[in-house]
Amino acid sequence: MEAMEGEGRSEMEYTEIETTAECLDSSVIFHVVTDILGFVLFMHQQIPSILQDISLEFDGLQTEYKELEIVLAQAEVKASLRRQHAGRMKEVKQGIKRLEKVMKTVSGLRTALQLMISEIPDIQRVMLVLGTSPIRPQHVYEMCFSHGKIISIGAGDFAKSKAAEGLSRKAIRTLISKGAGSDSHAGPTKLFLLVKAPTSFNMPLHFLPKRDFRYSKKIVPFRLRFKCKAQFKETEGQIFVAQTADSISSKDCTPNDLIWFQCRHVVKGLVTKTSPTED
Amino acid sequence: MASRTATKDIITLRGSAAIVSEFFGYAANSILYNRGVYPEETFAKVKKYGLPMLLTQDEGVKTFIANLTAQLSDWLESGKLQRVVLVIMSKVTNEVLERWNFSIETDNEVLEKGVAREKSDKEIMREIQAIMRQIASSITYLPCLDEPCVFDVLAYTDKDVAVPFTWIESDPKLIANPQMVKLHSFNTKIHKVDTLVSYKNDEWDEE
Repeated sequence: MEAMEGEGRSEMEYTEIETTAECLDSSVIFHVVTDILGFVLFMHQQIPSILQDISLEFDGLQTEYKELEIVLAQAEVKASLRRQHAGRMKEVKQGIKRLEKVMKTVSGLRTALQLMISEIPDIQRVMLVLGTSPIRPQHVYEMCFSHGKIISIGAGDFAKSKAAEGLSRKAIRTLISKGAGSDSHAGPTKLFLLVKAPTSFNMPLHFLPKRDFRYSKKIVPFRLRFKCKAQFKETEGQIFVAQTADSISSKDCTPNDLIWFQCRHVVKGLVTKTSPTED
Repeated sequence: MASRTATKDIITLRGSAAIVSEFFGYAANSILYNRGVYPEETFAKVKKYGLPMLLTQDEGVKTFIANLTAQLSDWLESGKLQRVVLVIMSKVTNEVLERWNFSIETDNEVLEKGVAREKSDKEIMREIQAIMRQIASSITYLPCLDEPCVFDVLAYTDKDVAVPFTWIESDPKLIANPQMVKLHSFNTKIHKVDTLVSYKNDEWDEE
């Protein structure tokens, strides 16, 4: 991969992750990015448990709230039980309020990423930046995707395949082995998602162009490059594009035509209270 | 400008042994919970290391872990403990599926001369916290354990250690062609604990 002018990074700094899959389809890229995002949020103490557990907890609270509403709407409920349910409803409501913002943002970010990948199936670079602002980060995670055959999946088809699961796990193992999260400190911060795309890319509801974006050179990023074992050969390969989407290909662009786009959905870390009383 | 250097605390051999053996207890519980060796509902949440930790409420497992940590503390204080391994095996076939390996290095000068060391408690807790987070997120980077499992604990000690009556000599319960992930370490300045998990490769998992 060419080093971009002004970035001054070495080829050697990427950790290569090879997949046995013939290609990195849109679904695989989506799940790898979002799984790493969840891992980064948890390991850097921005969420109290892994994203999957928080998601289950949030869904559970919402379901419980609806059930309590139904019970309390019944006239024949005993007064003592009514008070009990009302008390529990208050707790559940507080729980929902605590998690709602982060869940909503993560959901928005996932939707934005899906839309972007649908439009640019051969997405090549994604960055997760943790800090108060993208230009002054505490931690940076860069992902580079070297595609084999470029396959654009049908709109809405982002189901998690076994291949995606396997590759996500491998990526996270690599980050762990490299010490990701070891120098993390408590205190809420923000997580920004940036994606490199052609200048013609236009999705203002979800992404804002950040021409000439660069972050502080003091930060050493974690860099992963995902490669297929069977690399795309220009003479033999085929490019499949979705019939309805006006897909933009990064491959048709020169490096100067690609710029960073920052996702509007910024994840703000949850404040975790460390209780003085411990077991 | 206020100094950001953490206050250092005095650590003795006994104190360090207590920190490390307590860590094993919580780590073992967390592994058993997060790897699904025992059902979720048999665990209760407590606060430790600034994190919500899960502790088993199964009396048998509770007693086993309590006795284990007491013995480990003894060995740590005498400098005889080299490694502790929590092994997860298939209940049906007894095949070893995962090995959570905790290697221990002990400061010999502390053992021989009885000196103490200095390190911030807060810093030690921060290091332990990082390992606990890695254990808690293991579902995101280890293959799923889709079958009922059981566990065992192996202790690697110096050869001159008498085998306590509740322990027996064992084979190492190794995994054939394992994959490995090195986790974080923590260091009390008297005991350094390195963590590594090795696991049986899942057919869907990339090497």
